[in-house]
Amino acid sequence: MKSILLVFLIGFISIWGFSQELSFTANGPAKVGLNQSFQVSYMVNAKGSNLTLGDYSDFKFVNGPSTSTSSNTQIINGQVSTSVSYSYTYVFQPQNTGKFTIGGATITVNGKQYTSNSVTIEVQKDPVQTQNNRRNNTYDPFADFYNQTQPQVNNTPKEITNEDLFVRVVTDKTNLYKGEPINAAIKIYTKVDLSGVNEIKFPSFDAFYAEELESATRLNFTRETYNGQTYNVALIRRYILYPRYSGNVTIESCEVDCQVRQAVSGGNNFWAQFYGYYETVQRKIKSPEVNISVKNLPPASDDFSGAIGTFNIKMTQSADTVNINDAVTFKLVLNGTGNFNMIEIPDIVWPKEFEVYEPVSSDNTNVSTAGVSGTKSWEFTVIPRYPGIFKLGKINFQYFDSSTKQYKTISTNDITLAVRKDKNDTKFGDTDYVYSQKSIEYIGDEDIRFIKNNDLNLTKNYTPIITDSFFSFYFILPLTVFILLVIFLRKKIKENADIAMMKVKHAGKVSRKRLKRAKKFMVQNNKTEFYKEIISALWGYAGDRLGIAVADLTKDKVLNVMEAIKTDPTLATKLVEIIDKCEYAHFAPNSKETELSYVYKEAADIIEELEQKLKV
Amino acid sequence: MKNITITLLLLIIVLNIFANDIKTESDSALNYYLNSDFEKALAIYEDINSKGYCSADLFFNMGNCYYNLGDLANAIYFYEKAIVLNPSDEDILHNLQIANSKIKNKTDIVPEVFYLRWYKSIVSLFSTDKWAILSIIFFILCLGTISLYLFSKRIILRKTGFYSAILLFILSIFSLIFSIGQAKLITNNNFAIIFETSLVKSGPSDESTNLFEVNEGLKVEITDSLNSWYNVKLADGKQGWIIAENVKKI
Repeated sequence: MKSILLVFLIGFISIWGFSQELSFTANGPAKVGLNQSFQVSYMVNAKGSNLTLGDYSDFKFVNGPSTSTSSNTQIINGQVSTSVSYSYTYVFQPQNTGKFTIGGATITVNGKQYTSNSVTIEVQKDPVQTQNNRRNNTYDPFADFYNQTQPQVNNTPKEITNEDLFVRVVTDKTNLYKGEPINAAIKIYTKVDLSGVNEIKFPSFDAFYAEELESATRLNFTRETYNGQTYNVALIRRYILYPRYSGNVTIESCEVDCQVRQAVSGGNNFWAQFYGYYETVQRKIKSPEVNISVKNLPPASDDFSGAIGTFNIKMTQSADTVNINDAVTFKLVLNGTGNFNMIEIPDIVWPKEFEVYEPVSSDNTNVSTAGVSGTKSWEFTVIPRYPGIFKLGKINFQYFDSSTKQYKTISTNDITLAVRKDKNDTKFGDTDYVYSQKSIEYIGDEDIRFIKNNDLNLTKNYTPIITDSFFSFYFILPLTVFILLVIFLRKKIKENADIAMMKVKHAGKVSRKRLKRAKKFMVQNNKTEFYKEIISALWGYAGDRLGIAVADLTKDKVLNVMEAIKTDPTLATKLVEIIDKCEYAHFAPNSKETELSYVYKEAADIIEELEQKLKV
Repeated sequence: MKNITITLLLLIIVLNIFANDIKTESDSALNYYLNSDFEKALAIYEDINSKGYCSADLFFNMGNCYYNLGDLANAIYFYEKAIVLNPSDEDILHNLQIANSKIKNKTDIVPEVFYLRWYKSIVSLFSTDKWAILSIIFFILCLGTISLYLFSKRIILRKTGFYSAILLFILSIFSLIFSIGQAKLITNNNFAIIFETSLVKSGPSDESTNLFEVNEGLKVEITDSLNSWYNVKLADGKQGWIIAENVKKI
């Protein structure tokens, strides 16, 4: 019965409690420092939902809400009253100095919307210690009570100055030549208890080619002395930087949001004793900008490859001696330390007799604090198209030595390639190798030839001769002369034609007639007449056929003419021999007898033979 | 009689003075050319030409002036004119080739049938006048060898005379044909040079379809003409109509 009554009572009280007036208030600090984050709490004495914050655009939202509930039961004069309060806490961070307002938040309780008061906060440059700021998430309902009794000074932790906590971009040099590397490390220096780092805004390094060397996953603190003081120093990131421009370039500042754990003094604070002596404070630190002066390299010659650092160069070739049209690989290897990404390929003058393909370049580099080191190589595939011993000479590579600050030229060994010709190919002569000779090439473009500086061979009102009306005269005149000549000498022409042609044509016939008569004399055994006929047949034939006048007819003449018209010399001598023999027999009849028939046959044969040969 | 002699003498003197005049003019043109004042050199050559004089060398020099002034169309035009008068001059051929290599249009020349190619290379060995003179010489030699045939008693001489007569007659006829062919190029040249970048159309009117574009300096063959339009044929065989004022006949 008693318990039923109690339940009833409690129920009644809570209804009464709900029926009491609803309050929805916002609490925030009046003053905060620029780098301090602060809390704003919204308290409502009933369970609500859909809490919507007012306008807080002047501040940066950090986190929230963290909610807590507290109930308070009072028994006064036997009367029990219970108050419940819900708190929603948000953390903000100021962005600028000045006075700003966070607008009233709205909340829905039992279907009705309520609006809280707005909070005005003054943001000042120096940090301010306030109650709210020191508190961690929980709302302390007793705070007000203690605050009234405890003096504020006791609670103020030690101020964090710029000497206690800062970030720096440490560079190994600030004065250098364009293309040299800078070693830059972003380090955080602290004397306070740094519990963590929230957010880091790294410099953009716009003026550099930046290569990240190292990035800390967690902060490893080492002790280091800086400006006479000892700090705990942790590396955040390490870069290697290559300036892109000459002149003064800056490394922008690096911004770090830090969480610092601070001991709270004042052991009298109950909650501080209860929760521990520490609380976390947000601090935003910013590194100073670093100015780097980048000098241009001293004036370079055309051979400068763009390389800065220290290098070695080497050329290797797949073979010293090759056959014509066989591919050879030349590999140019550059190793050392420096700005490999900006190195241009050295100029190699290949002989015109080589067919050279585009080089294949490959990099094998790694980045260290000393800069980029490793090797870069270019591989040329070359096909010699002519035999010979080709001397390419040395390949020079000029770079800027960053240690001596001077240009330096290094070169490869002398490069020679012997190209053997094809054994079966006779195009290039007998020797295996041919010393190649340079053909003359135009240096630039071909140009037109110089004007004619003679008297220009001018003609006035030029028309081609052929179009002249008197042109035909040049033909008619000689033709007329010729025709007249023909008319005047036509008798001689006829004679010439007759005599010459007839004699030639009839030479064979005439001589055969004479031979026939000689045969008759042979049968009669009339030696004198026989020889007479034979001799005249032979002489007559030679004279008529060869066109020799009777007066000129001698053996020498006959031989000469026959030689001139390129008759077989044996025929000519045979003819003369037979004539000789016959003449001898004719004029010395008592000499040794020869068969007449035999002489006849010889004479007839030679005439027939000559007739055949001369016909052509 | 005396009068005639005096007139003749006077005429010779006048002609000499005139010739000397030309000589000094061409000398000063040479000086301008040497000093890279091509415009002045060109003006002098043009003056000589306007007096009715012409020669391959004159046109060649004018072409050189235009080339150096950057006027490729005119340069090619004058080189072409020069090559017509002296088809075997290496300097002209060389400069024409260089000028042609600088123009925008590159036309692939369709290879001609071998006999046409041979014909052209033989014809361009000499100018029309040289061919004409050669023809006359061959003709006279031909008559001479016929005489040898007719008047000689020696068989060999008669034979050689006969055959060479035939050969020389053929040579004479061919020389005459070549001479006529070359003369045609001078009196009635079918080729022209494009002087202004223009569109070649399918017919002789502005409304006709555009076929292709030709740029200045290109050599074209004129195959027909109508009103103020020419039907032109390119070296690669493309054909179309072009406004006559944009081309200049060689």
